[in-house]
Amino acid sequence: MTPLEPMTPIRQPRPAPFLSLSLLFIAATACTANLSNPGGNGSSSGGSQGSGGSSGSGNSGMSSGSGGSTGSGGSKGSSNSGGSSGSGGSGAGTSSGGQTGTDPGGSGGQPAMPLDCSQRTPGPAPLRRLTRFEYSNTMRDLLGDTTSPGDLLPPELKGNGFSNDATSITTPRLLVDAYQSVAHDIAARATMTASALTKTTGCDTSKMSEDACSQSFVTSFGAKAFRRPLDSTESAAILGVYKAIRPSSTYADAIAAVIEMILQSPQFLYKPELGTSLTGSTTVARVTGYEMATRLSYLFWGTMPDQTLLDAAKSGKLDSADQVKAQAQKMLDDPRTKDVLHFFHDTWLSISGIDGTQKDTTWFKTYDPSLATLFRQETEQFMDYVVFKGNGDLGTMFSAPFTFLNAKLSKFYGFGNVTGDAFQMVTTDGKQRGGLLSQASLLMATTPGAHNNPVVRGKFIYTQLLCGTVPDPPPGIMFTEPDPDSTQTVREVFVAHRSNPGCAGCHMKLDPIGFGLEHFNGVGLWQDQDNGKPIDSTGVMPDTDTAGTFDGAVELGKKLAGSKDARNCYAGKWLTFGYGRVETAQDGCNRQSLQDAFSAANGNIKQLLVALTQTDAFLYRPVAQP
Amino acid sequence: MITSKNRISRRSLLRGAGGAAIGLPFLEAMLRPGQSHAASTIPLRFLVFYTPGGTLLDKWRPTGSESAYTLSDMMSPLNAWKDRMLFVDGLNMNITQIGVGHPHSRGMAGLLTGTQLLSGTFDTGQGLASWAEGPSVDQVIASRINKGLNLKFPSLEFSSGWAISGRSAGQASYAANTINYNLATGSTKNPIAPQVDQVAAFKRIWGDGSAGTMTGTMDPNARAKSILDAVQTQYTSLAGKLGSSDRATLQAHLDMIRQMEMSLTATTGGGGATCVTPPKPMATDSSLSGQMQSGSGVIVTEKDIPQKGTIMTDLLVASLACDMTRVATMQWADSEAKFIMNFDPLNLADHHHAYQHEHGFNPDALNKIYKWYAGNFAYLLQKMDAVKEADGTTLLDNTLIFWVTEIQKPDSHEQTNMPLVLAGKAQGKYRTGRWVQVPKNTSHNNLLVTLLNIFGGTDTTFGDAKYCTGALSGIT
Repeated sequence: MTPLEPMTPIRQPRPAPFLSLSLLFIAATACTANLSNPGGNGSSSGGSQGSGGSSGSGNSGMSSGSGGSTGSGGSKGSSNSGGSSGSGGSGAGTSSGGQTGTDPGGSGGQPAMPLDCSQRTPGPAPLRRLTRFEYSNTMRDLLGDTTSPGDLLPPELKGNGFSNDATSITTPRLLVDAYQSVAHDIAARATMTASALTKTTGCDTSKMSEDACSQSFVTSFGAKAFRRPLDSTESAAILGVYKAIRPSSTYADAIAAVIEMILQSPQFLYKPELGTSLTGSTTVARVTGYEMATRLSYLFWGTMPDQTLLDAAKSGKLDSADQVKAQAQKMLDDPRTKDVLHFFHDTWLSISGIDGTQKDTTWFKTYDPSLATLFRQETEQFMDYVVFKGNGDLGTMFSAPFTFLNAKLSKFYGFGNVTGDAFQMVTTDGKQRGGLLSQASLLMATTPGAHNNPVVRGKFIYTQLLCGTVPDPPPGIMFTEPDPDSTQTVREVFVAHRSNPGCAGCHMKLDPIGFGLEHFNGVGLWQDQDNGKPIDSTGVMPDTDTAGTFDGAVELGKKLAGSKDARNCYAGKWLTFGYGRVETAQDGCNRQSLQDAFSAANGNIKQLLVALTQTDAFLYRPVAQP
Repeated sequence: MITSKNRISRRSLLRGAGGAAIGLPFLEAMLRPGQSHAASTIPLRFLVFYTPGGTLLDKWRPTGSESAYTLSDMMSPLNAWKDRMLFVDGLNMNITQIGVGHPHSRGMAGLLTGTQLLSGTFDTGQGLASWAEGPSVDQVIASRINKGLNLKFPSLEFSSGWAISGRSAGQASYAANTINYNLATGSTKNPIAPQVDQVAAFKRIWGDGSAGTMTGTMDPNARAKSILDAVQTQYTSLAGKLGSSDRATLQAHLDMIRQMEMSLTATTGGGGATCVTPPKPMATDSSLSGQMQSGSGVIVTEKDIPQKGTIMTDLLVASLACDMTRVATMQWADSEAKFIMNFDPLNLADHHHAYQHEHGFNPDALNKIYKWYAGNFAYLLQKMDAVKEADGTTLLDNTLIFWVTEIQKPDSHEQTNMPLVLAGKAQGKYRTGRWVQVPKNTSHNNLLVTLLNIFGGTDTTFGDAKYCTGALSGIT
């Protein structure tokens, strides 16, 4: 049960003449631990247990974690009202009491220690494996398979919020069986007909001998699949498969067997990095040119390197930071970047799975599930425009006075007068709507049921957009969602959170954020009234540099647009997703580098993405411990 | 139940017509209490059956006496099977007093492992968790009984829907949804995700004929072996070039490939049961078939749960009958249970968790739900009992089934007085047909020890030893 996120599905409306809330908890543990914004911890916030204020909030809660604890490093600057000492969880030996950022900590915090970034500190670089997203894209580009075979693999652990945390890789039998089964089917499709075979192998056996063809296929296809030229042992092993199968079978089948072998090999499924030594260091290495090509292509395009990247790697044009930067800038201008941008933002904004959402038509008469896909596409079209054609900055994402609608959406929302299926830019009125917070995708994703829930919305904004941490609810708490009350507004119904001392500590801070979005119902439609009473959409941000009052989504959007904390939070999310792990205590300089670059670029997203390639974490890797 | 009073003596057997020894079918009545088939060649199987959200204890609990018990209406679908069940009444899942995470998650982790849920990064709603500390009892049993065998699968896990609701939706939230944990490799825990798609599960277990070559005549297994041998050399070679922690990752993968390769030459049908390849299942309408619904916490209608659950149950029974494996789990959905139960025969408007407490504890709705789950359990027992073994007994006679759930009380999440049930004859290795009330405050770890003992282990502890005082008496 999730006391902070009661999930309400399609529900019958219940007549309830008076407020009925049943809150039953065993420990009258005061949720007085402060909410704190340690300057962004990505998604693995400390999760302190919320027992009394003395635990000092922030990340103190996870310190006793054994095994798997990944407590991200401590406060990294920017306001930290909790006075957190920034001791992240015990995670895998990497936490070290938290380096603090260069900004002074909040009141009561430890004095900020200036970071020493004179030494190269890449942080950990655990072996990464293709995610389902990457696996599907790679099959598409390697073999023209558009069936999204990644969907056939077992699900990934949510982990760092982006399902790509390399430290939580496990290999169940089900996965290995799936790799084999998918490889078999893909290989069969790629060799089924003569023309497919010619296309796949790149050579025509009516013109070249099978031996020559198979040899050249192994060399060229192997290099593409392994993302670098094969060494002689690898070539021999792969050709060995061809030679083992060919005598008892057909040429086509032997080629298929070669493909199956390659697609199950670790050089394909994983992204091994042997690195290349760095003069003057025994602990830090550079990655090789080919390894850098793989890092770049998966970071920006979610797929294998193309020929341009491989050529650049081969000719030593991915060796220096500047060369990498140049390459990154080129790649970011390529529309292939959209895939990753959509994946990242959809996941960050919790809208990746809204397609087909069903809502109670009693409360949402004009909604149908096909709209959910359009909601998501609206946000994606909007973000594509902002990043590729518009100002390109995070602030604009929060506050832009426009969105993208097609006819159906326009009709649904009731503005824009758009005709046709294509999405078009539509200006918003600047009073009711503007930016992400007024888009139906987000608004629906933060309304699990029929009725608005300011806690869900408040928590989303506070933790996902500002990287605030929220202590856990007191243990043993039982939450029963309030009945939909036909005489009270949502704001009035949730007042019990604040009248109860066990809940007030956190809810006094979370709920008022969510109240600011009360003008939007659970499918993103504007409402002036709630149960016949005019809506009060004044809200309060409790802390961070957006602290203060606001009224409605547009004002909140402006606050976020001008917020350094929001910017730092966003940068941290990209660190997590981009490097495929969780942030550790060693990442202080990496984070600072990203935050500084983002800030200097006034929140320009492409510049942040370029900056992602300029950190120690991206340009280097630790030398492997034997 | 067989007591010494009604046990047929050897004399009565031997004094057949004319005094000649007659080859009678092995009569159950000849078993001494607690005695297994003498030198049975039929393998003993283990099966876990999971349903979410506890129960209504007063209705779950039988009435009457230990060996003459009566079931309530809620549990009445199981009336025909009472003599082959054992209600274990009163165990506490004490291990959930430690560890991190919400009770649902801690319950899932502790249920079969008897260990705590460790901290990590998955948000359970009350703390960030990773995995259970230790392996699950089914995997330990499998590792033992599979020794020297070459089964196609060391174990098989099926579900009617998994990670389909609540915060789990769409992305594996192991803490909330996993009850099976393979033995760890080094310090890496190995949670096992169940199969979620019946078409893929069928193909995985029985193949679809495509494993063969397209036009060649090469034996498919030999072909696969050539490929996998070569693949393995790549893992070994690469692992040697990496650091220790990355090496461990590849080693774990390599172990699985080896296991898969060995299964190519698995000897199925060794159990001797009548194996009938089940019909190839159709995909159900559900948009969730075959892939996870990505998560935003939104609840979706899952009209296919009943149908899918039935199909998966059939596949599970067939897997055991065909000796594809001897250890299996059937998971009825996920522990968050936020899927709307608007399907026949329930036709409820809201989701399971809502009736547990989220929209107010609703015992009437819960009664229907838990009765339906009892019916699903009865279906399993019936299917198992319809499979004939080589000696005329049934698959149910040769299986031990463990019905589990992650909490007891839906509204308070209490994990005391857990409603745990054993079923199947298990070759007489435990005394069925009873309602056993255990001493107060006994940890459920003790029952897990007993399960191991039933499979021939001499264990005196399982899981976290601090929460275990030895095998549970009164069962075998």
